[in-house]
Amino acid sequence: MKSMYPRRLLCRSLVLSTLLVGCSSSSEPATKAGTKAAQAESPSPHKSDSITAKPGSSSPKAKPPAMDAPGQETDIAAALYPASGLQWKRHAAIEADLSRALELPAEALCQEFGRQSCTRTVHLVPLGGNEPFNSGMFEPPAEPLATTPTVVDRVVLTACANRVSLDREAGDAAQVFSQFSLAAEAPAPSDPAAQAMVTDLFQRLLGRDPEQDELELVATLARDDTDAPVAATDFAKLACYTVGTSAEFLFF
Amino acid sequence: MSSRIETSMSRRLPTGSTWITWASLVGMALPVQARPTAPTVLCQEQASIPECSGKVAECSLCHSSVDPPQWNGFGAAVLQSLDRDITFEEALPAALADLADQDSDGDGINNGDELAMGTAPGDAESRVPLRPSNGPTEVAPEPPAYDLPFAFRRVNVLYCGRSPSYEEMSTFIKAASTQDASREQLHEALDACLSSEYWQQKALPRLADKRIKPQASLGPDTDLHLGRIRVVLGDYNYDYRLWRYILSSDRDMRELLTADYHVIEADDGTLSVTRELIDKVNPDDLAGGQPLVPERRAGMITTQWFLHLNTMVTALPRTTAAQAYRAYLGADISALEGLMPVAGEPVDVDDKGVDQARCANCHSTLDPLAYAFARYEGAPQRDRMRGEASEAAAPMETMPMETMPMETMPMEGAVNDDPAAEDYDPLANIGGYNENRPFERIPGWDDEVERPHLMGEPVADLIEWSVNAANSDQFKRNLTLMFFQHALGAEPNLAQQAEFNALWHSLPEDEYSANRLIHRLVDTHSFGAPQ
Repeated sequence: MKSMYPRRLLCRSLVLSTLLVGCSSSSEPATKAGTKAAQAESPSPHKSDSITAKPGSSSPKAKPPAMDAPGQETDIAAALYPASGLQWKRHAAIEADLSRALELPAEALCQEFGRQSCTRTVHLVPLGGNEPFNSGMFEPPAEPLATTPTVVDRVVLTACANRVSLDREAGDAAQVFSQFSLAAEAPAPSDPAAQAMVTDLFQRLLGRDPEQDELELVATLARDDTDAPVAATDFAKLACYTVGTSAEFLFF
Repeated sequence: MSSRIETSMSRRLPTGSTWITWASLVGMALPVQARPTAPTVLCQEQASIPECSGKVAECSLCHSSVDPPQWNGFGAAVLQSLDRDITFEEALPAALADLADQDSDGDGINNGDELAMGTAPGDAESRVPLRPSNGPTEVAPEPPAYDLPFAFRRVNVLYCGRSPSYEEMSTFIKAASTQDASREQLHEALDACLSSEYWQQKALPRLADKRIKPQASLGPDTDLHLGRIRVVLGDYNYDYRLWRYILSSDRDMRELLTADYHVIEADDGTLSVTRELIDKVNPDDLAGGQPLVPERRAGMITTQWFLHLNTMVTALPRTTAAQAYRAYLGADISALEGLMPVAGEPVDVDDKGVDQARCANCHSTLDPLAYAFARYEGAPQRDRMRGEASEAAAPMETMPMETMPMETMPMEGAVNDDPAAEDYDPLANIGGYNENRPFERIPGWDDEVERPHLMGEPVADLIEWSVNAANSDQFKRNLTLMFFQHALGAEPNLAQQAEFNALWHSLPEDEYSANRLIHRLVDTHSFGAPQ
């Protein structure tokens, strides 16, 4: 349990990968989906575009070609297929999705100093909202702010930690992390209980089953960088946080 | 393109960057008069180009600055091509035609194609992203396909405020045997979302914020007092309810500008209509009801909050007209958008100096818009306050003077001794109608001269103004743009332009229903084909 956040998984997290260095695809295969490039190219909600994009794989969809030099022969029509970029999931949907996935009331997801809602009040604007009545802010931010990655981190990790804490106290009556005892060490990555928890998290947070490589990769969070088992609660938190900060969860 | 040089220059002007440099150096010294008629002429000639599609071309198409006037490469070329023997308005179409095959900004695409595609012919950075050609045997890439599960998830997040659950997603993917069946499921899900509490009470109101501009400190729940008067400028909840009501349940969106009713909400959330006058809740509140008679109502732009907040004490409600134009027709005059000047304007009826050249660019459009609002009251005037109304405000006990707009406040001793004032109580008519208001507030007002106009055309009053606005392409485009931006996070790009135009053109067929518009939007590739 030396490392609470193994780098290979931090790099897979959308939010942290924007802040970390050393998340290059060439240095470590497991980091391939965590880079900014992966964020830009892989965030489709479907299995084929899951968070474990293959190295060198390309999107099946045609993309507008890059700008060429003036005067060069060009094909204008090919650049004009209507299509959609991804939208940023904002505060209301993040709150609702986390609340449903973790079976927590909205007010139990994240409170600053135990008093103010992270999603509705304190971090409303970085999460894409606006408050017109008292703040005079009549429009939400058009794009994520500089603090948005940190705030998303804060909200998701807190919500995951709150659920894990409640489930550990609940013991056999745990509502989400019920696949193994949270009072002991994490099960082995290959243990069906570990894989069941990961599968459940994918279903709860992403609305789909994990691919086999996704399942195996997230399950490795049960071990630290020295291959020693982490605490079951840490495994649960990290797995929840990893899936909950994936590009697939945060964009639609 | 919004200015015209009137000069006796006889030599031909240099072109391109040379001209711009030259013009920049001498521009201030040129005898220049603002005649912002060019956008209108362009759009009359080329109504189908994106720059004129449901809007008026912007000055930046030709100008790098309008005060002092400076031109980009395209604008300079237009200027050079004008026939000086006829008027600017007569000469412009021919000049544009002459320049269609030229490439004024040197980006490799000629001006005519740029106008047709919606890029700026005077800006080399504005152009369609192009793909290098690899020769005649190259196979064009497949266009992105509509992705039903992607669209299903997007519909749920946007209009229900949550992602579909694992069970919902699985059911959607597995249950539908055909594309058509999946589409049907998609639209059933959308219907459910558009009826949801999230959409109607959380998401829809946020789309109105910049149009209503609420302020809690001056709203129905304010704690701000001036003496015993509670400083309520109005109750913007009426505005939000009207907005929600009209943009739901297949109602006609044009009623945003034509409704002669207000909307009230029952305890169970049910919205219903009333055409009655509405008294303020508390007699000691400055305002808070809806005193405007139904026959003078024009939906969102004549609520008490809208009129009071925007007009305040101004004699000619320019800010009110500008906000109505911006909020519902999508043209921000302060950003040189939507300029459609009226001949002979501005006359500077209230002697504010707006007939100066640097002001006239915008005020030749704005002032005729504002005439239509001149009979609608904003804040009460101290010198027209009746004695008892004024006395009600005294003494000023708790007033934080530095924070208050004093012109709006009734003050002790501000009693109007004019007997005519006995028949009219401005404190009871905030946001109301007063036929005599322009004569009382603007010496020299003449109805025959100060004729209201909308988009260059005369209108009788605000009611006709609002009806014409509601039926305009600008209104259709603006409301469609609002829903498009909400769904896709940005204005339509070049590739999405055709679908966007088809959407707002469909509004009459759909009886201006917001819900039907959203259904059409969801069916577009712009919505459902991920890049």
